[in-house]
Amino acid sequence: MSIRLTYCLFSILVGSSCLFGQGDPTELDSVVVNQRTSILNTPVSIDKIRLERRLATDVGQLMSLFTGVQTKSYGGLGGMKTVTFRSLGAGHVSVVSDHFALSLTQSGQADLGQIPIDFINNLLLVGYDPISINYPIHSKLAGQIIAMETRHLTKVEKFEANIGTQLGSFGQLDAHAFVSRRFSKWQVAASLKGRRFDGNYPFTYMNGQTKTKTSRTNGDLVDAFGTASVSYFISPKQKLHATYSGAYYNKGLPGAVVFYNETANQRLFGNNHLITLRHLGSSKRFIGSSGVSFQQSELNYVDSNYFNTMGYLHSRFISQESTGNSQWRYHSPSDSLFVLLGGGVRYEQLFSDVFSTPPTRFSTDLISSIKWLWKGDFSAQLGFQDIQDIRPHQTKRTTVLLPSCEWKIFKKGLSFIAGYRYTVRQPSFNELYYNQVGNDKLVPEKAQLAYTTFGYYKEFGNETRWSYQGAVQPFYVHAIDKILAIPTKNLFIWSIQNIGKSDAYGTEVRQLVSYRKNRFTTSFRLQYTFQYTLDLSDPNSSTYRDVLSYSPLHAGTAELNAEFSNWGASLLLTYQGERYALNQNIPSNLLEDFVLLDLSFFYKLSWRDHQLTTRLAINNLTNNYYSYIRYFLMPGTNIAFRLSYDF
Amino acid sequence: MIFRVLFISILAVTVLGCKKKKPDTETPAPTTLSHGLLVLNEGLFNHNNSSLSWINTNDHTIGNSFFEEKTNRGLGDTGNDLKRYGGKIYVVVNISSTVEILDAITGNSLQQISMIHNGTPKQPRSITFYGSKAYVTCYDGYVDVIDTLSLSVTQRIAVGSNPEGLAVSNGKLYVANSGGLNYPNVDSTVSVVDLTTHQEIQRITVGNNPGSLCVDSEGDVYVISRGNYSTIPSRMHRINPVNDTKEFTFSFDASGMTRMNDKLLISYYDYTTSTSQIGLFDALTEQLSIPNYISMAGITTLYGVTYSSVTDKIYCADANGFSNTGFLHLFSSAGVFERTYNVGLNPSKVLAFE
Repeated sequence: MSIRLTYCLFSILVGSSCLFGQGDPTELDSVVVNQRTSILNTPVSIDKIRLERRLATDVGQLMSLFTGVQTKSYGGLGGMKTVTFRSLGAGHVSVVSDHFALSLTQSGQADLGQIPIDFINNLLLVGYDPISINYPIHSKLAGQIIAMETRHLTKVEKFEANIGTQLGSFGQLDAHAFVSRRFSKWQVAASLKGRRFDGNYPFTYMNGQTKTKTSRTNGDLVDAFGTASVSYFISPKQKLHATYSGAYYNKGLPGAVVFYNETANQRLFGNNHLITLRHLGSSKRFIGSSGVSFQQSELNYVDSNYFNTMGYLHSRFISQESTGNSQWRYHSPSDSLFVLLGGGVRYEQLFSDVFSTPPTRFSTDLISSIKWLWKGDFSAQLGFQDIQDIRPHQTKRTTVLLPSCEWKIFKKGLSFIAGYRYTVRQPSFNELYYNQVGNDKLVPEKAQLAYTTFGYYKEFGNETRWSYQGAVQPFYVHAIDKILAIPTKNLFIWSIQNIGKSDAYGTEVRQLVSYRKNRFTTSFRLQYTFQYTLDLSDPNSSTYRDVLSYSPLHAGTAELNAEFSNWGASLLLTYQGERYALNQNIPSNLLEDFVLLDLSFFYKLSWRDHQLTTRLAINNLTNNYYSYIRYFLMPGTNIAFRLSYDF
Repeated sequence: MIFRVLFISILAVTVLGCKKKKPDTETPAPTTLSHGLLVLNEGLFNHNNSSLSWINTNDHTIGNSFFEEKTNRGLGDTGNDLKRYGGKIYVVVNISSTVEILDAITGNSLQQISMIHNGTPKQPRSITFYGSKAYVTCYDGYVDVIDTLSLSVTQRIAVGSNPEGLAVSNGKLYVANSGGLNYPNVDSTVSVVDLTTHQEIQRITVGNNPGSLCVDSEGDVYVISRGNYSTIPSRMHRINPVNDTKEFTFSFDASGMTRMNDKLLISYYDYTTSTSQIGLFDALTEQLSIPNYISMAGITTLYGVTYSSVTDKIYCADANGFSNTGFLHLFSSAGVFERTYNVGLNPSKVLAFE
């Protein structure tokens, strides 16, 4: 198997670099429909300017800025953060950083709390982007992509560097540095980031009718991230890009607040390594991308209060993933027809003492897409996935076809989009094999998604001072064979079952008004998600047609920004509606809604090519005690101060 | 056209957004405990939603916030045992690591005992009584001795790993050492503790993963070893309390026992098929006289069986899939169904009051 995989990966790279040796060049990454109507487009992006306003320390803290996304945050800084999108669980979300998907081999879901934002230029939420070559094929076939483009991808003139530090409440201290240097056809870049956090923040919770004040314990965090990249510009239209990324983390797991028992002594520590090599090239009619990657993640879980014979529990997991991926896109002379073909392979293994035989999976992904600019913009994508789960006693093979299509019309500022997608998510290794919990009879979870978008864009006044963008996006999601953990033996022994079936109806609303005059700019952005998700698993169940747990009917943000000369301020209001902690919609399972108010300021001092930026953020201004997940209490009012120097 | 659809969408959001909450039909807790049932609902791990339900057996009204109304605070996380001894009710709460003690007449709180030792929660599981002492198994490998007058822990008795069920016979305490946290290398012994010296005097090997313990009218001790939930079956064993030896292993499946006069109600939940059964075991003849004593029709997840000599009724707790509020099904001692009550999340134990 490993020889076969190595051959595949080698072929992908060599084949790709030979294909673009001649012919007239076209622009690399040239598919941009209309930059000005960004709010109406899919994917939806958050640019560096918006990212920096929040003084967030990880990507998970920013996900509420997207519509349709529900964040599940298990605590503040350092706490695990996952997302669901339009009722589809975290397993449907692929996280892509600089064109390579982060490995989800073990748990099947990414912890967005472990991804720093300091070097991200653009954060995107991508649902359907069939002719893009910027995402691996298996990510394009996933339900949703959270994509990050970092400074390592940016071509510099000669030299760019940045250093900075951020201090904050509850013992937060972090520092970061970035440097990028161009040498003729070569460009090298390096970034480094370290964080520490005491995490002992105070909070108040209601125990019955009794208000209790206490502090979070065991919430400390130390982690470090580093990336080194080398780009070689073979020709104006061919580029090789190689990276190594490493990360280390060691953190307490504070867990849920348990009445009368404030002890928690579980820890997580580990490290991640990612090596990538990507070739990007274009010729007169083609553009292509091919890449290979290897990832290894080590995760250690330690519980020093575990009552086994040893007196503690230490579980160690090492996951490895090797991938190869190649996609080519053709465009017609009139740029009215695009055709994309691609293929990829993945080989995943998970090593641990708890597995007698390491779980192994070999996957093949194929994709073909077309985009035709006739009476609008029609596109379709057909994916094929072949997955071989090599199990101790047998090899289970699953093949699926994944069709998607979308039709867009843009006319005089008005836009209309209608789309359909079919996606599946494979059960993770944990879900298949982990101790008594795993269930190797699981089948993939399947979902069908239909959506429309109505958008409008207009500029007003002289010199286009005012602009308005608005979009309303109704959607419907039907999911079957949902993979859920349920207690089947007793309350302490859960197992994973394919029992879920759900419907989700909803509407996302995005509105943006902006004004610009001389050195003054201001904008108001409103994002709202209405989502009605129904449990249809079992007509005889107490929860039949009840709203799914942690699916608020209403959620949204309102963001007001103003900048004048070198000064700026931003106010963010976040609302999360009532939701249920369990699927049964009874008062005792109901979680209160909450409103958060965050305020931030910045001042920039520039001279020549140097820029010094100071930022101050006051988060949760009204000192609300709230939680996304029941009894995982979030911090009250907290402050962060950031100093950043670019040169 | 586009604006018409847009308008309809916004209207749909507004209308659908006004979903009504289901009404709360809670019945207030009584001032004195009589003519009713007190039900312990375990709740779910890390949800702090363990609760006590009070069922008025005269008018069949139900209140699921008994403890909270009496104390203005929550019971905590994962209540595992509920027993009455003398004038007090004892509630063992596992994850919160507390033993809550209530007045058996009013239900008011008398004491909360924190079961945390040197900063480590002891994770109490089950309770039984002898003389002026209460004995609580703790998952850290001890049985805690609580003085029922001072309501404080006076001693810790070391036993096997992860002890669960316990019972008293012939002046000795029998403790099932499950070793569940060493899975798959679980324990298979029952510790015997001399109740005079409070010392472990012997360990009896019975079978993998011992859990429930029960004493019949003749003083014989029965223990269930739960196997590994797949290839090793769960079995009931009889221990002679005179010589402390395992005398017999019965060949039928069993996961729980409840004494009913000279009989034992043997419950069994099949994890593979999600089906359950309750048989009647004659402890005098030591025969499973009626394998299907109670009809399981209408019971989704059998989670506990209680017999009350006060009411001469059998109560079957139904966890209803574990993550939904459960039911208490009431049967006559002859096994005839009488009625069902909707109670809290994962009901397991019942106390009946005249």
